[in-house]
Amino acid sequence: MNRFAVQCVRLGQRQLSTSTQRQAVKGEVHPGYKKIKEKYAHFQVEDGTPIHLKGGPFDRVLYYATMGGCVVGVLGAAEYIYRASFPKKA
Amino acid sequence: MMMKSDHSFHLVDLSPWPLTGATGAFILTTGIVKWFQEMNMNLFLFGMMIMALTCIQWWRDISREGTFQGLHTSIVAKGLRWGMILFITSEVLFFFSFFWAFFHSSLAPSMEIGLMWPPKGVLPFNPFQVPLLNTIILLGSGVTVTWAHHSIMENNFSQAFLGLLLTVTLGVYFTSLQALEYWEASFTISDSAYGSTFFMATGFHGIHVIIGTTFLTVCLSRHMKSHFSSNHHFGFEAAAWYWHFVDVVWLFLYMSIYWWGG
Repeated sequence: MNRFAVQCVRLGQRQLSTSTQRQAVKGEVHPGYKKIKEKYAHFQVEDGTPIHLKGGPFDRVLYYATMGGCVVGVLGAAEYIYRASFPKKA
Repeated sequence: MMMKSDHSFHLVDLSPWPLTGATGAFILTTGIVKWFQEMNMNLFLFGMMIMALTCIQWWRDISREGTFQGLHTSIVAKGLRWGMILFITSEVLFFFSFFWAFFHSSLAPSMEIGLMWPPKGVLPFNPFQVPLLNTIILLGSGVTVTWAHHSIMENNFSQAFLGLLLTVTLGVYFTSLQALEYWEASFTISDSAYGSTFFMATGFHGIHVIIGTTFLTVCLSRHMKSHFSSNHHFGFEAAAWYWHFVDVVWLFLYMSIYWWGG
């Protein structure tokens, strides 16, 4: 039972990059590693923001653009379907 | 959302993308009907844009959850693997139906097309010209994507970049050559069962090549931003699996439609 619990805990450990951490200790690491550590810090702030808005203000712009597009598109589709449901003049 | 939990599974944040995806698909399909009925592509293009925005943002969020928040534990990654395997299996079944249609028409050619295959009057492509080059291109791209994979696993950043870049280049090269072939073809989709089976099968394959090339380009971009580690790079593996699937479909297309059917 104990071994099973240990295995479960191991499965639960978050799979962030481990190879780069070992390399960083040795002093030989790609410059991109520093940049991505900043990304980790930014996205792991627990402020309740959902993931689709957590990147910054541009996320909200894209979200509203997509939602707005959906509304416009549905209206466009409804307009066509309404027109198409009447018989054409001979 | 919480990143600490007492279990190793990933319960996702509430997301708007399933709704926008479903709505976008509705707009897209209604747009296709409007295109065919009124010769107006606007609604269709609008639907494509909504779908593209949905895909970009949904997959962006998955990258954020896995790479930046570390929520893709090994059990979650196992689920993602099974998901990709099942998706590719469904695509195999999709292509199976087009191959069925091809063999249905070509194994017992009808009276209307002259009891022969290719039908009377159809000039098929020479399988040993551009189609053979396309085969070599895709097989080569299978090698380059495998090279990229091993480079990622061995922490060789620059070779992984080169391998991915070469794979994407070969994918674009294939698509360009195939587009030229389509332009030069002596027959169209409406030219008997030959035209329909040829363009439906190769056309859907071409769309899948474009999707695969896009997936690999995204991987290239993520690799340049150091998203992949030597032991965790499932996004890349999924792209590579998809690419090999696209390659295998082409091999079947080449052998049956271009060579045997030519």
